[in-house]
Amino acid sequence: MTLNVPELQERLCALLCADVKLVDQKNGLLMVTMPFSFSDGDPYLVYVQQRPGGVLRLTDAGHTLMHLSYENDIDKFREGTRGRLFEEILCEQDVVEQDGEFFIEASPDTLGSALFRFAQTLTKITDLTFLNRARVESTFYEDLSELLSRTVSPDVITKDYFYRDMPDAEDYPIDFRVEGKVEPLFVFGIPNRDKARLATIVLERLLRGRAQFESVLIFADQSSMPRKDLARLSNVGGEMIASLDAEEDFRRKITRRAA
Amino acid sequence: MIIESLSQTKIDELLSMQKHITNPTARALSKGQHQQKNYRVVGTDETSIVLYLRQNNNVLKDFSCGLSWNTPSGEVLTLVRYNGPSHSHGNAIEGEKLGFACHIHRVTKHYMDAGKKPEGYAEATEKYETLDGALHCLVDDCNISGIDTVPDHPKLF
Repeated sequence: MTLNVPELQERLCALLCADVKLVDQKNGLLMVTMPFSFSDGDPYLVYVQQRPGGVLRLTDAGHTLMHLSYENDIDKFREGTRGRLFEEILCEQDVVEQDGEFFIEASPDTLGSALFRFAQTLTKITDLTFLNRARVESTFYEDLSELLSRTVSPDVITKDYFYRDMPDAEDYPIDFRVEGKVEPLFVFGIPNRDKARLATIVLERLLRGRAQFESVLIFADQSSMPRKDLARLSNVGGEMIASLDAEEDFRRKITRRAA
Repeated sequence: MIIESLSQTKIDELLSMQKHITNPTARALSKGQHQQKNYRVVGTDETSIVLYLRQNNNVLKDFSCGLSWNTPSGEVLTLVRYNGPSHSHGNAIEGEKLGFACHIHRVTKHYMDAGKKPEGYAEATEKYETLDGALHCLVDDCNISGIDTVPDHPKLF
């Protein structure tokens, strides 16, 4: 190694320190500027607040959730899967969330490591936005396509199929057509209630048009489907699979019918 | 529609088209450490947009109002956002910091093409100092009707 390690260390420390400054906000808060930011270029807002007994509190003064609320319903961060992850992230680094404010407490000697832990936590909280509905649905269809391609030969799969033997076929999209042993197999991915309703309409139309086919419906999470939407869909649909986790059931139901 | 495929023409059209607020009596909600208000906005071609206002209860300079477009594919795209001077925004591609100044984020094609957050580019401004002033500038700049707004008083000295 040809690097001058002591010199590089000194330079690195100096550069890191140059990015960390305290700015008095004149309201009992000292802002800590540091090189961590949201993806839109706005920095995390972190303040130091003096507490009794020599304790220093690093707080975001509520800014992080306010920032995330621009494009997200922040109430959903405390529900379901996101809620569990939210709590896990806070516990990992001993960060507290109280009425929309994130904070961590430290002594003057532990302030540096507390700052890094706090910034890491804010980043992980921010990354929960990747679990928003549009992104999760996009992943579901990609996962379904991949699973189908692993189950049957891609040669027998047609994606985004239209049954041309009925009028206005393009108004009734079918996610996948699989060449069947006897009849074609129409496969529908159902990530949410809206798609359940659309699939019901499509299947109803196919039945009225006397199309000859079998169908398999795969849900992102069947248990979260409203009862009435599920009932309507089950009246017109064929086999159902509760989620992509039921891979064995998926293979069995597809391969039994596929060419 | 995938956001990355948006053209600059479409972006400009979204910003300049005549828009109207359909719920002018929307109330502010308390969300922990900030207040928030969301107006529903409709464009000339039934485009669905949200005009949002945010004010941090603890730091007066920490405020924001912006327009977010609900795309047909279910994604949310921030078209513009008028921020207060609570922080120093950094333009990643230009490698510059704006200092503690009010600044306006705008969606730009060159940030989208670079794989950055579409509204990652911002410019400093002296057009407003408060959330009310920012709101006035936003509705004026983006051709929005349906609510009364008040500009911040110009600096006389």
